[in-house]
Amino acid sequence: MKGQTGKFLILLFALASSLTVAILIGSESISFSRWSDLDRTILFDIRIPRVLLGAGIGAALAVSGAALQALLRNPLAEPYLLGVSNGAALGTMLAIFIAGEVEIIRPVFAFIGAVLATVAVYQMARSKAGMNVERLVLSGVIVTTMLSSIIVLLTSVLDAAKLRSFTFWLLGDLSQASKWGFILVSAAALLGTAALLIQARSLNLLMIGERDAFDFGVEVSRVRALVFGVSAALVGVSVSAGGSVGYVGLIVPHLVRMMVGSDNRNVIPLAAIGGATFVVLADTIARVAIAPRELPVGAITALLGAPLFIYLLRK
Amino acid sequence: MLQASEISVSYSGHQVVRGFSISMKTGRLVALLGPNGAGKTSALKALNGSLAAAGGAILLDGIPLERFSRRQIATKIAVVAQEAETGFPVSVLEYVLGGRYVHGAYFGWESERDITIARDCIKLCDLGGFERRYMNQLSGGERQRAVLARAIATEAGVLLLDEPTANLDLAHQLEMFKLVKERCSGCGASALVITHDINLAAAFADEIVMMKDGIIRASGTPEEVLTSENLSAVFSVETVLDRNPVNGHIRVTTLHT
Repeated sequence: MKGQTGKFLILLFALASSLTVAILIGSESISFSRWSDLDRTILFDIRIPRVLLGAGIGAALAVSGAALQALLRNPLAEPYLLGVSNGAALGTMLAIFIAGEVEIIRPVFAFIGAVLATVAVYQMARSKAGMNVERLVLSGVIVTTMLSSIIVLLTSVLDAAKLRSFTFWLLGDLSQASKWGFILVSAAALLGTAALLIQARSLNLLMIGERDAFDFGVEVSRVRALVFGVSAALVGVSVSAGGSVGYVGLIVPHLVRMMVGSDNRNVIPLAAIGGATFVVLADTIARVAIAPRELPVGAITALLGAPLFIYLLRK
Repeated sequence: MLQASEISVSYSGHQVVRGFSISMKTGRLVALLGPNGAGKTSALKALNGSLAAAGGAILLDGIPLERFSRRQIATKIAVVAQEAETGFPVSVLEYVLGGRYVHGAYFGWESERDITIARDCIKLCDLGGFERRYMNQLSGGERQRAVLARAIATEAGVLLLDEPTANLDLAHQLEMFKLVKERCSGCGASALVITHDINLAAAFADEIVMMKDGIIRASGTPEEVLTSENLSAVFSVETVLDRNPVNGHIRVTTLHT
């Protein structure tokens, strides 16, 4: 990261703080002075895995948002708004329906769902004149709402207990975190960030124009396929573990660009850290705001994200 | 050196260029003239591989263009075209550094040399002091100069320019042609410039190619090509030709009743 070490450290510090706060706060308080088996269970089997899952999902979604925005030349591109998250959700539901408890199938089906949604939106948004912002956003809205409706329909008609409620799918919910689920998501987030970081220089050129990128040496089709694939994988893994958490891919890259500029070599790694922080904080609020009941984390990210985005738009 | 012989280009099912041949010799500036829809842009895009050329052959340094990767082509051929709007804040320096993409590692930061070259190109195009400004804060003409700076920053030997003076004021139109000419005669580049300004073409081009309806109607030196008959056939306008009294360049004036 050129010249942005200071901001990198600030964000790292923010992440560390939010992780600490999140682990210590909860509807069940952990007593360190009178350490018991219950405290150990809460901390290691529930709290820590859930917080780390939130961090992984936040990083994965923020990075995929940043990369999609650069690739599609559109600051409004985001997995949730483009319908990619819902595609992944439907994929996961299909996996649960077909293969029940075989958990490892879920991220795979989620990935396929995400890829199909991405391709659908991309093809819808293209026209003879090229792709413009309005067409892309509109195509995303169409795909998102259509898929949301299918999700609500399926969860209402079929066995809700098996498929989980549509709140889980449409608003994200980290309370279903399994003990080791965070490992897959965190590994995916790390690998995905690295893979997209390698493409960062190409994305810098693509961000300016597809023709420009092509003329100046970027293998556009290859980079596009790779970025779509990695984004879909990141979204797929995140959604299969925690449902569709929205706005992370929109807000975090935008904030990061305000801090360090548009160079993707800076934006991508910082978005990962920022995204992790954002979701960890949002989930902490989700857990304690109306304790002992819980709110879905996606509701918090939307409540925080939407007004923030309106404010950013007006600047 | 870039050479094309008898290529044709199709776009959306129509054949827009037929039998196009050109030889871009080092140090020479070729102006490509013609009415709208003549196929000039399509021919230019075929020369750097953006559009597929059917029939004929395109040779870059004697080797067929298809054998080169995009990166290799971009080190040898640079394009100046209408600049796309971007929704992201990109500074002029970052924009011009994009021209150095092919010279560095696939992943990594630009070298000191890259930055120096970019800075020099920025100054060369009269944008000194604009380095930190964002591209979308510049005027149309300033942006066009940044586009030229980026192309020069690639250090490519062949420059393809599609109406580079489109948004420029008189002084900068002249400056643009002077710069491109200097890259050719001074630095050994070769350039193909699509332009609607016949007089600037007459003054700066070593060779002029006139296209209409996808084929070349005339090519040669300005003296050979710029005749009333050719201009009338290609552009459907009546003209009177004389010489500029100050510098002796061919001067084309359109006649209208």
